[in-house]
Amino acid sequence: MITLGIESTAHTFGVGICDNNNILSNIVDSYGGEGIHPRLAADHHAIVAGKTVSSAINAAGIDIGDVDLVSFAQGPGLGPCLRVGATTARTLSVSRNIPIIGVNHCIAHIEVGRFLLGIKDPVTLYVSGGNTQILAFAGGRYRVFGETLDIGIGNMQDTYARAIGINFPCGKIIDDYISKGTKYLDIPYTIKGMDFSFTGMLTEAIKYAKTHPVEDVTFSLMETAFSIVVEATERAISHTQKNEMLLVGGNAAAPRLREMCHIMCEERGAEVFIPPFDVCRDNGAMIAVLGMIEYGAGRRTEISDTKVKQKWRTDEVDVIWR
Amino acid sequence: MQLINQGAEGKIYKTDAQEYFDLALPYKLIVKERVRKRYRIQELDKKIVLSRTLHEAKLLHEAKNAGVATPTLFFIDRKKHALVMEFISGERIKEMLQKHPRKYLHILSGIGEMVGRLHSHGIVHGDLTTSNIIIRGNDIVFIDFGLGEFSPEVEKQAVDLHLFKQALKSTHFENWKIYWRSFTEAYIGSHIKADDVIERIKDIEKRGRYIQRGE
Repeated sequence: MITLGIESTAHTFGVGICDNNNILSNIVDSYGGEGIHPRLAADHHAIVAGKTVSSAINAAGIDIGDVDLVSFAQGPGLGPCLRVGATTARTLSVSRNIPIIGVNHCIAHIEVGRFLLGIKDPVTLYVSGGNTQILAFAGGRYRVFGETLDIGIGNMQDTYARAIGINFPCGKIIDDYISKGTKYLDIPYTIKGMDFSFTGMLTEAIKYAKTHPVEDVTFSLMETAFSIVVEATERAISHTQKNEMLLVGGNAAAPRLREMCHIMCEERGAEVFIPPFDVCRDNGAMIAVLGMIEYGAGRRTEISDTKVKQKWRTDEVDVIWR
Repeated sequence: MQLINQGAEGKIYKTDAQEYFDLALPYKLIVKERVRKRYRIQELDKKIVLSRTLHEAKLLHEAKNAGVATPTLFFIDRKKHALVMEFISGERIKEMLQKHPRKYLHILSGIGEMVGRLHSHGIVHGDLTTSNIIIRGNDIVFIDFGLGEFSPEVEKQAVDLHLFKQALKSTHFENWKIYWRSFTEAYIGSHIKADDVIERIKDIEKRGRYIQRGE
């Protein structure tokens, strides 16, 4: 079965295609403005939707008539952005007369990792601009064991970068500063059980940046933020007594965060898995994979039930395929 | 010393007064040793480990002043970042609730009352989960104050309850609503600011991005 998946929850419009065993193509086109304006991002998605679908089909070496199922990210995310993906999916479904399925974006991040890397039952650390969560499977659902009490780690990093004059996307420059910083400055370390908060450290770092070398401030800020999410993940691993960890999301690219996850898991005798970056970030292939898995398990979405769900929680989805 | 648990924070050993202090006293002891985390840089790690150890010691003691049972502290080993405490023989409520989901609603009420007392005294536990509460006879004993703090603020106390609610939801997902109800009813009865705190939880729940925690 060939599934086409559409991602459009935030910055990225992505289309990916998979068959039962492999990802055949994965094309993304991201809105790049300062911060994110939901309307402007949605306009971007609407402009690139058609050509991204065509590119994905060409890259997979298939014909549009070969697609058996269209899957789309129904939530959570920004309403205007989500609606572009949903509309694209409905158009394909109705015009090609193929079934449609709406899937949860956060769960897609986990399931694509399981699909590609053969992981059984991980604790997942999901780090991105809008989401920072620790998820694990318990009692038929993916439960949220820990999460940010305010903003996502990526949002914190982008806001800080803007304050010190770095434009979006800032990841590479931030990673470079982290590796060059030498002096650790005192930054608030806010962890509450398995939850955490980033706004306090953001304020402190912006203050430091006025008087201290930017490399040291960036190093101190990100070292603190990464330590917190890794500590919370370790708590969740200990609490759930699982022995696999999965790191996903746009911020999973950070080398220092990856290194910390490796050390933490090594010390616990657990194993850490990080999917390749093109399926770790927001992308269409993960949506295709989850759509295929859910459809295979018997889930069906009527076209009348394809309204987007901006605040769709991970633990609202019955995981019928596990 | 016998290693009985290797949690996320550190190692827990079981011993007794004879072995640890060379004293002929009939006490069973727990040694909670915080271990270095190699994933954190040394400066940050040292700061966290020492401050949590000392902080936990203070909070264990202060909780008793609030009328809440906690393990008695015998010794602080600053070099090893270890607390030497009374061994609590009993069962964690996590397992009790998992074995008999409907039998212990009165214990949830008891916990609500005790957390109310802690908050009335300006003590925030910081890691309220069903793994950190032990039942010994008629006593509800609270452990693991390492993430706690002294604060009379409604906001911090509301986060404390929010964490407990989240722990109930993720670990006791089948019955969490009735547990939460029993808990909050008793909490309201023992803390003068309880209504404000519970009201504030709604704000906290709304803050999570993309996320609605409403029921």
